[in-house]
Amino acid sequence: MSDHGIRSEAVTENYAVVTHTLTRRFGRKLALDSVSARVSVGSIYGLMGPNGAGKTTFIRCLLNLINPTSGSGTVLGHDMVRDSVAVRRRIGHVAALQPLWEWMTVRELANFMAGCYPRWDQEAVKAVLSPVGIDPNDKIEELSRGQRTLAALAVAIGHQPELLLLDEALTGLDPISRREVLRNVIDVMHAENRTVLITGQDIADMERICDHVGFLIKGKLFWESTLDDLKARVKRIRIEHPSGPQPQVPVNALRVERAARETEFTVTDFTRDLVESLAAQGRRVEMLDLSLEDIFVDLASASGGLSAAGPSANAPMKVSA
Amino acid sequence: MRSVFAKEFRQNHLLVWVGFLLSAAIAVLYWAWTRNYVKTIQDERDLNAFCGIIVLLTTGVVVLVSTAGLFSIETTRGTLPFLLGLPVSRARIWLAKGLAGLAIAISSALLLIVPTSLVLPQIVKEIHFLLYLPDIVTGVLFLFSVTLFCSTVFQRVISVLLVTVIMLAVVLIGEALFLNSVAPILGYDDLFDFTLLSLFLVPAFLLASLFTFSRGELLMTRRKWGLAVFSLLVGILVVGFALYGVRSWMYRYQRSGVKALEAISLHGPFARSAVGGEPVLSLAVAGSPAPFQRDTDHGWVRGGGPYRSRHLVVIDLKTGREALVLPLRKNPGEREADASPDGRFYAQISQGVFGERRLSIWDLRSRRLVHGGMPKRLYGGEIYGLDWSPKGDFLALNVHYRRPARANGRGVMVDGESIYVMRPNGDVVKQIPLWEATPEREPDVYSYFVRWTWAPDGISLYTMRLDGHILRHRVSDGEAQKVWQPPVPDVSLPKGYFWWFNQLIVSPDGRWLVIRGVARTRPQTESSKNLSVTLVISSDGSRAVLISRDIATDLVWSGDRLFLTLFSRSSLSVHRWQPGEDRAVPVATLPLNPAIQKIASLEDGSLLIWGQKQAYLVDQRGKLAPLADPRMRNLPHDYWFLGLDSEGRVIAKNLRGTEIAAIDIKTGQLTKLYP
Repeated sequence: MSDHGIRSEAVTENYAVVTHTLTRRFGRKLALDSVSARVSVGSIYGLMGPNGAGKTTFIRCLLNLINPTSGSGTVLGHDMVRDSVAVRRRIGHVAALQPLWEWMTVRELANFMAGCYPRWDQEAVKAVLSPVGIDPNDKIEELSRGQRTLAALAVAIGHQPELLLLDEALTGLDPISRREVLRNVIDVMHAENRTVLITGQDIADMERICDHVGFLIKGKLFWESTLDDLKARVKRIRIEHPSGPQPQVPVNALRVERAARETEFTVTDFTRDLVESLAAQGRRVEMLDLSLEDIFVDLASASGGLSAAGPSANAPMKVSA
Repeated sequence: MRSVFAKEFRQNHLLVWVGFLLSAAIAVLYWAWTRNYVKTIQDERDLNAFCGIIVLLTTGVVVLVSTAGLFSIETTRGTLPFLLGLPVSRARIWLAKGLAGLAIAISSALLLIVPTSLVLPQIVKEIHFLLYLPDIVTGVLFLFSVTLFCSTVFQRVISVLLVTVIMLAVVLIGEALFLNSVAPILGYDDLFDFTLLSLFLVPAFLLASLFTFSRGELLMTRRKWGLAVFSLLVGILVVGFALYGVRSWMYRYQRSGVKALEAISLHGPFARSAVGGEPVLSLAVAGSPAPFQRDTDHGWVRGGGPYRSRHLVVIDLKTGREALVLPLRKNPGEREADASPDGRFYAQISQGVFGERRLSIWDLRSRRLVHGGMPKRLYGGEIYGLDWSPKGDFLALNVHYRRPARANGRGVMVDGESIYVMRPNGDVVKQIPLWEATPEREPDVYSYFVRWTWAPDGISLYTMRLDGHILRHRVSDGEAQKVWQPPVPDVSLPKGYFWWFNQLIVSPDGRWLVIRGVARTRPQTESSKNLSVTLVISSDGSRAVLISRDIATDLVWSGDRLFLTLFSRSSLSVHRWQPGEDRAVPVATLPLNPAIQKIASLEDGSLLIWGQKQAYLVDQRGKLAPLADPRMRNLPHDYWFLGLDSEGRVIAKNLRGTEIAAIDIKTGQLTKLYP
């Protein structure tokens, strides 16, 4: 094995998901553009991005539901294309508003799934279904949309997956159900050092549960780090300048807002040195912590992900964790 | 995989019951429509035809609907990603779904036996025949494979159904074109029967379906389209080449084992008709004894004994090349084959594995199948007695049919027989009825056995009942004209004796008919005596001459003279009759020892007698002499006479049956023709 191979193996041991320049085209549309992502084992990784950013495509590539146009990746140490069956045996997957076979009862669905996996933990399934009042004898077609998602989630963890892929799976759940899911699924998995890769639009939830985040915008992975690291490095800076000339902002500053007496901008590589250098100009510099939602909006806006325009010149550089 | 299979079966099990109800409805409706016919069903083939329709219709519908949704419905309902997210390979999912679809088809087919047997209890006894029906089994398999392929490609069930129907139509049309272009070149009509062609396409469609599902996208993308079309084409090519390779190998293998040749027919020059044609010789390769034997007037019938012939080869005698090679089946099905007198066409009546009769006609110039190749159930029964008109522009054959009819307010089954006169392309020109029988009304025994032969003009033919009634039928309008009927002149039959005439030959100029017959008692007893007669009758029936009371073993016209070989206890004599004479006169007497195989008339009016030990020539004056060339004294030891070609050469095979040769009787020169 080459040196590179040894390094790769070592890397994959620590990461549940590793992709190398994963690219996927749908005709002319570039859905994934050289995505090199790493999802640490035991992490709860929130993959965020605006609609059409390529999140679902990324997850479908991991499941080998679609083949990447180029690039490669490993999931739990298995090549995601060549060993896709082995990959799927060790992971669970729930998609947004997961369609299920409506003629089945929940019990039949669970039995069907149990027959597809070498091991099955019916208690784990019950742990999801019972608190939200879903009877195993209920037919799928009789369940509400949220209940169907919960049923899909319940059967997705029956085989004790080492990696759970939740593709907008929390969408449509009421707050109580969402809380139950967080408590009975994600917290349990996290406690057992299992990995969760979750995508969604509810950033408040993501901020609450994720410890790692990645921003996927227009098929490109613009940011990937721990949540703490993200928050530590992406800051809003306000400079007051009551009478003086406009302050000079860093070249890579995002969302620069200039007013008559103050200027605000976001930086993605915040350091104390930056504040000190700005303060050295004799102005009052204020550092503002940003919520995950603010960061998402800033990054997405800067990269053109929220507008029809392309990425701005100040689009953030990708930061590796 | 088991889970997926069980899920699919459960998902579609309702269709089985729908199929059950559907089959019940069809069975009842069909029974109501044809109840008189059903009451008369005795023959298992009729039973199969009745049940086949129900099975094919119902199973076809169930298979179409259930298979169409196997994959496409998962796409429509969005469950496909969920299914593919399971730790089961796509190939296994495809297999599980495919098996489930097949299980549904089989279940529905088995279940629909119930309503069918309610209206037709005999089916329970004869149930195994359903499985033998190639049309149904292969038809359902073919439908299944096409639908499965479409289901993996298209996302909507309605699209799958639509495209499947279109593809079936395309395949049917393509098959018709294919049959007429490729099959005759490959020389195996049966392989390209619809059923077998369908079977050939089944693995291609299944492979394409598997490949498209395994490698294709979830959605209907251009890439998936390309993949589907590409994999289908590759599948067809792979399976086609594999089959072709296997067939070629088998062909070579069989050819390498050629042990004996048997002549089936020698035409063109042999017919010595006014029409100059391509001389062709058909042979059964590795056959011993011959698969076909001449049956007096009814063309060729299968020979007795063990049947080992593997190929039927039509040879162009001018070039020695094979004009057509038709592999023969091991079953005793191939029963008749004959080339047209002009050597242009070659016709064969064969019997398929499942007992169906078929007529195939090839154009030997283009090597194209111009007619047939498919079961000809439209005839409804036996077909036999193949015979070309002298000019080769018509083909006539006997058709024994059964048809339902109403008599006295109830359904009866009518048996009948006709002569069908058709063009070489298979178009029926005229149907000449011979007899029809119902349980209440049966014709007399003589009517069942009718000999017939073409008139030399090629536009009319003569029929002769066993009791000697002769009619002339005009092909153009079917008009029948009475020619002759007993009594036989100069013979008064003893009481209790009946005439049985069994051979009818027309002179080359069409002026005379020769009939041979015996008078016997019915039933035959040890004390019965057979009285043999050979009569020459003028074609207008105005004159009948009893030319011999001995058993004539061979008859041949040479111009307006008729030669007969007659056996006596110690010798074999050749007699001659010509117009104006009132009996045949002896022209030569040979010891019995030469064991004469054949007499044949030569173009100069002389007669060739081919014996096992010596060949003789009877000149126009009736003088008998051994053939002049010394080599001819030995050649007959080694060669079996088959016929004469257009140059007057004897076409013969060696006694071991391993080669065919042409022998110039004047010089004794021997030219090997085949192989």
